[in-house]
Amino acid sequence: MKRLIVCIKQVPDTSDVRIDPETNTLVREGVESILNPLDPFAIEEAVRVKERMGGVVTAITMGPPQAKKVLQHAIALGADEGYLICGPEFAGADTLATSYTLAQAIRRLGNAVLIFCGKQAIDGDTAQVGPGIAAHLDLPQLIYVRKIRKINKRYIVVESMTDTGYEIIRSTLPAVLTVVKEINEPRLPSLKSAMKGRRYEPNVLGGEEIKADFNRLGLKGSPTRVVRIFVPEQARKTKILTGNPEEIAVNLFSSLQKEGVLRCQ
Amino acid sequence: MNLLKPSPPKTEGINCPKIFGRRRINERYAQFLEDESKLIGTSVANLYFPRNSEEVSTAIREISQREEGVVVSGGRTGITGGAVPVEVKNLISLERMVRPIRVFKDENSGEWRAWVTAGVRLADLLSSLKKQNFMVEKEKPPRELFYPVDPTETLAHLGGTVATNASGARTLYFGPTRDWVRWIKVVLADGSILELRRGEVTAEGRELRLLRTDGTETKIILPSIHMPKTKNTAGYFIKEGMDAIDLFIGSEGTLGIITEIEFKLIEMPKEFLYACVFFRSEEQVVEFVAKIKSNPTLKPLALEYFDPNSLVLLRKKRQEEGSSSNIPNLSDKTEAILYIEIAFSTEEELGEIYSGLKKLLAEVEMGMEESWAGFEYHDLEMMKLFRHALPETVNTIISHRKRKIPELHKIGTDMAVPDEHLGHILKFYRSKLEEARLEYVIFGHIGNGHLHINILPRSAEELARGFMIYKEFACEVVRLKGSVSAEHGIGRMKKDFLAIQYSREIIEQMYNIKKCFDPMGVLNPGVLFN
Repeated sequence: MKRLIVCIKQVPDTSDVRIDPETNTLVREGVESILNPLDPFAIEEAVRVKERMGGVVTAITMGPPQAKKVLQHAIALGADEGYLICGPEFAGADTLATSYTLAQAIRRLGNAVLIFCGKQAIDGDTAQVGPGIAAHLDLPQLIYVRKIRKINKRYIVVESMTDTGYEIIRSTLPAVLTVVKEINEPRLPSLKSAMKGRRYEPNVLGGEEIKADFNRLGLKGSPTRVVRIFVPEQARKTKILTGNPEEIAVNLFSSLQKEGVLRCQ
Repeated sequence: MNLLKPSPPKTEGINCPKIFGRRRINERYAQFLEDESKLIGTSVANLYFPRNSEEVSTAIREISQREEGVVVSGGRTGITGGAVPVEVKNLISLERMVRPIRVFKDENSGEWRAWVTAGVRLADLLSSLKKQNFMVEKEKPPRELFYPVDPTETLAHLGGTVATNASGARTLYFGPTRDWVRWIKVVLADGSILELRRGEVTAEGRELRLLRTDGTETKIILPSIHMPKTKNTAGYFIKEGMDAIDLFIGSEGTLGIITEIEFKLIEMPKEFLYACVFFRSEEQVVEFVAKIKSNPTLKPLALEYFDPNSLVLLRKKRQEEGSSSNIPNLSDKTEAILYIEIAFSTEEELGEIYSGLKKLLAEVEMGMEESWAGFEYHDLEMMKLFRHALPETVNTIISHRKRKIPELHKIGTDMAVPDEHLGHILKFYRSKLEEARLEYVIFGHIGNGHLHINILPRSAEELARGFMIYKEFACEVVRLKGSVSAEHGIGRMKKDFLAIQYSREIIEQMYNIKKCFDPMGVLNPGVLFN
């Protein structure tokens, strides 16, 4: 059976995140965990591809036991099955270790035709995990996909957003796709599917089961460290210029020069 | 005991902060001259900002001595103009009556309670309970506590919610504010302070007694009336053998100024199911509502309705704004929507709820797929945004029309009928509105037989026609033993409707109650009574 894999993540609801002004760290108490807001678009697109081409939509996530909630959410949104990659060996993973872990799980599950990810997670905002998975699996990566133009058994044609417009890319399959919000409008879970999701017990896989090299997992496999989280300083200096327009213009020019905004030869 | 015994306040050396001078008030405090009703107020000479009950007392005595009137103002979120000063010299704003919320366990009843001052906003009470950020006495609550009354406008002051007996979607299950008030402190028109604990002062038949601080005693005779059998905020709450606290709750500041309150709290229900069901016709919804209300296992906290006309407006907004409108992409078959909220604590309970819903929906030929459901707070928020999109859309349309015809405004009704008349009244509303060729939507608290009609007039002539029809509706609602004002109150703007609800004699008898407490008519002149 061909698999359409969707990699998802549980994140804190940032609409409710506060920073402790004294310690400059995130206040996590009382903050709800939600499915990363970009992931429903990835799930929806996988479900749409399945509706056209057949296959099984498999959602996977790496996280603590409570992350099973996002897999249940994925089922409510139309996924067929969910795998939770969970265990102490995965704790403290950065994007390199995370993408390695997910890639190993995808390898272990087998038969992946397409791997969907949301563009990025709203907590770390790195947008590295999707491309990371592609690199680990040595697959083509199609990022910021806003539309699947064509798909058949051999290849896929997508529109990929760029800063100035979009590119049309044709790729062989299997491939990794990261999607943007413009790609679709996720369907709403009905009473029936919400209930199905709630009652779903995801499969759990540990490091052994995905045949991982333990040195490449979790903190051990993470070359990057979060040293400090802080609120960027937004010190604003306000200077009000007065006088007639000419004086203000001259004054503005010299002020900007002084601040190093403008440089004169 | 039926004796109300206010006590003299400690007022020596107490001054109430005040702003005076009409010009200054007009320029810098203009926001106090209006509220959500958009009724235009007149300027006042004095604006008082008391910080505690004693200062309220000082202010009110000062005003009484000058033989002037005063308007009491809370969060100004009311929509019947109760907080708007009209031809009155003084205004008392309670917005500085903000003290930290105190949560404690009542030893006699074992109930958890919150003590609040009048100026605390509903939103602040809710968030302090959620974040457990309040003062405690002795014992800390073991679990998250919950104040379940949910008026839509959470910026309302809690004092205001008691003075108006506010309610919301969850009133279906939890009842209105009245049911949650255990104790109040009220400052009367002579400055004396009355503390009322539920259960302590009750009428003997239809009689209460008031012993004033000057030693004089007055008998308060409660009129013999039958209150509507529905949610009701039209006039005073009156019943044989009633608790005196209920006379003040919902009296819209005409009997005294409520300054401190003790609310009953409950433990937060463990989980919620939130669902919007997409029905194919209004008849299906009416039938389903009757079934769910008589079902012993399904106890919805809220049942909120959107009629076919509401969906026309919502679809249009969705077409214009896309998914950012917070309106889901509705299928062509959807003609009416019912929002359902149910609390549960175990998976077994949820299982019963699910199969119960499935069975009832099947009985009206609906499946479980034609719906949108969730269990998380996030889902509730999404559905709230969707539900609020309708009144917002109505307001936007009206404000566009106002540019051409400034006197236009929407006509919003607030009437409830007993459950058995729901189907009839909906047909009645619709046939009259269609006959009059008015643009309108019907939505709201269908589980309480309490549907709001919003008429969107396109011309001054339509506005007038809308009002005529509104009065016809009110007469029919009263005939069905319903209420002309189920939650918005009477204020200044719905006095005509109070006169449809009750005879002139009864309104006079109600006014006599006010005269016992406020013989000079100092408090909120023009509210409830002419």
